[in-house]
Amino acid sequence: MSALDLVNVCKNFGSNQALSDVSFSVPDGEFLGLLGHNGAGKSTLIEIIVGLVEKSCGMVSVFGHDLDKEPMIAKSCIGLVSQDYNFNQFDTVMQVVVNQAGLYGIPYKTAVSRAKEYLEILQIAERSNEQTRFLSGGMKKRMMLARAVIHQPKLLILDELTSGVDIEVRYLIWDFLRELNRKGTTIIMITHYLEEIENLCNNVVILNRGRVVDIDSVENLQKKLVSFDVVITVSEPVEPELLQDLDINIISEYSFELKLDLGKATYTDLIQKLAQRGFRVVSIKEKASRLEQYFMYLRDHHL
Amino acid sequence: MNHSLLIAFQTIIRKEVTRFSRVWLQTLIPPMVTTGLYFIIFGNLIGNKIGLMSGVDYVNFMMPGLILMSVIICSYTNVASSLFSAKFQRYIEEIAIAPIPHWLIILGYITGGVIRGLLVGFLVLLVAVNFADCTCYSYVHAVLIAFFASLLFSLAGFINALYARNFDDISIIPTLLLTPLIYLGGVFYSINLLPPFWESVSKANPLLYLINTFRYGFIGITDTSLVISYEIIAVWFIALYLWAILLLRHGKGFKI
Repeated sequence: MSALDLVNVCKNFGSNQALSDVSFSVPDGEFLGLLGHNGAGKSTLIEIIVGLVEKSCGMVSVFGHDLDKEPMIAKSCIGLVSQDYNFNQFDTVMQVVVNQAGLYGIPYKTAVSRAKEYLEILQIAERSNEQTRFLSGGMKKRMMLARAVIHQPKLLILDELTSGVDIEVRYLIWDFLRELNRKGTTIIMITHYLEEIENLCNNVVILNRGRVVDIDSVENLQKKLVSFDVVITVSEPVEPELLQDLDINIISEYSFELKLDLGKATYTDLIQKLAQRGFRVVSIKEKASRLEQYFMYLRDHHL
Repeated sequence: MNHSLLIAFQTIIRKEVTRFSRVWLQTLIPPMVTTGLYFIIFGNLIGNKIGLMSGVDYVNFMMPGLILMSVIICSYTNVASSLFSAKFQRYIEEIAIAPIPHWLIILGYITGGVIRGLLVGFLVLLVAVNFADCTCYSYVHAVLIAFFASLLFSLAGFINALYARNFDDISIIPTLLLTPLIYLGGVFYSINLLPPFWESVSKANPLLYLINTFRYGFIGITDTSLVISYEIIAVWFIALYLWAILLLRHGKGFKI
């Protein structure tokens, strides 16, 4: 069974079409990345799935439950971490998390016990009795994550959960999410950190201007890129006149970047070509991750 | 109501009670102070010069209306400000994404309003005891009207908050509509004192019926029919409830 089915979903804000004909399915147990630049329609799509935004057309089904026909069952399957801070700033951390459990019908004692467990794992248990307005950004995000999973949803949706979070906390969150996913929770993650997608997700949906432009596994998306930028460091000072035909961009005395087209040349070809001109290659690095470069390629080509 | 919904209902009430209890200096004390001042100025100082109203001491005539005024205003503002704050700070999304039917959202919020309204009513009564004879003529009518008034105006506050786009929108109705209706609803005078035309106009004010029936509960005197009062309450409750449900179905205040 699919965790989520979207069929021809669209959303218009007046004359502005935010989403157009969005259709895809997310298998149960998947860790899906949702990519797109700002304004691509990612958050609108998420808000439609959780029932915060009324779609203009199409169908949304969560674990086989139509959001329009069985909204209560569909909603009970979903946990959400929003992009913005959406909690009462005057409630304590514990109140925010436990109250959310109550809204999903979890008895108070169970909710408190689960909240303690999740807050402990996410390393904010010692701040449980503090008002949320006194928390740092990273702590607020972790509290929101604890709140989203308190009713143990089968589908967890994360909208830029780790933005503005330091690397240590990000790794903590990654471990928490991996464990949830391993135990069977389907996760949909919106993020602008592509290494997060590469590290966590099985599949990726790329949105651009409200349309799905690509859906594939992370590996396949990386392979789709045949031409990408590499940074080469050599042992001798770079002499541009010797490399004119390669269309290089000099970065420093010993390094330069160029576009490598795997359809025409391999890394070995490139190293040999440089050796013939007297340059010994010390290192070759891809300028950015292939997923990132593919994403930029889609954007630059308005796909 | 199944067990999950009952827990959700209790949770909304707990959130609401926690909210107004946290700021008790702003939510519970001011009505006591204001009503105490009314009793001192209009009851003792000016009231002594007025003498009897409908055959009873003016301070005793005025007392039920003052209590009900506090109940009505506090119930209304509790729900209006709570729901609007939730919208403003976006934590309304906590409820909007949860599997809670619309009727339960309404019930939860208005129960919060009723609790605060009745609590304030009780506190104001404690103040009134020091100035007036608070013996009840009919506990049933006094309690029922206090309950229904808080229910009705909590519901009205809920609707106000759904429409509100800024903080002005939740203060305009209490200031420009509710307060005049209360003051002109016979808190301080019997409508029998009015010329026939204005007496007829006053009878179009639904608050007149609430205030008079509540007064009947305390001193056994009313300018209106008890049956009509309860009919008006029923009609207003049904109308406001349907209005609120309709708004939620269309996502007003909750959805984009």
